[in-house]
Amino acid sequence: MLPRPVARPSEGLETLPLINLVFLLLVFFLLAGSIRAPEALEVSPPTLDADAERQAEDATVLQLAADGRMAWGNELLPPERLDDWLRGRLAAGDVALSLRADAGADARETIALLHRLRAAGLEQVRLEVRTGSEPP
Amino acid sequence: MIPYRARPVRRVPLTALVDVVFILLFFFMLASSLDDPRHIPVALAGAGAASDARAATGLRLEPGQVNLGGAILADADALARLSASPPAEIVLDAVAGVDMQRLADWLQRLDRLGIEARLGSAP
Repeated sequence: MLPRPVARPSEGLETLPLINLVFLLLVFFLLAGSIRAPEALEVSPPTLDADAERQAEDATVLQLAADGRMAWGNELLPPERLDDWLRGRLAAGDVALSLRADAGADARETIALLHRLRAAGLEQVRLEVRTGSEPP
Repeated sequence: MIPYRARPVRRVPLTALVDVVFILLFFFMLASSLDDPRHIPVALAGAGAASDARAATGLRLEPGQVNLGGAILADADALARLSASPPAEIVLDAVAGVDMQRLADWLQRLDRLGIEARLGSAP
């Protein structure tokens, strides 16, 4: 006759440590992350190894992709609409603007774009960068 | 005397709570971005009365080399020459085929040397 099976101590899957961990992760992402609206273009700005000034959360950012397309937020800006858009921003009180140009965008055309923005009335332009040792 | 009745031990149903917490966790993991945008100020040539584009030294970026006031130099040589005798102001320009990473690198180098760089108007 087979011996009676020994009742295994119920392992009682340790859920409490798991929940603690998940809560910690949740709080981390709540505090460290910032929720942003999706953007129209995939742009990776130039990377610098030095520190630079932190950009305000609510800065007006003009995105410029490597292929020359431009966007503001989730909205593509065809070149012919750029001046109208800029006038609208200036009327709304934005005198400074951040240009998020792709690291692969053409520098000569970007300089020309900056001059065009200034000619349209923009006073201050900043170039958005990433800092740290990320691969370019 | 009020009879004491032991209340049945109620276990908190953890599963539903954990489900909700997981959903919240996934939401914040996917919707939030951890990157930290920085910016550098950019000055343009021809802005303000103080700058005179003709008097300032010109630095034109080309792929793999630079044109510093007419002399074609490698990046390191141009940097050495600029740090030996830094001009107060430089008009920075680029030819076609130079990308923004190179322009940003040069803006940073000139900033470290204390040279005020202004972006020239591309014709």
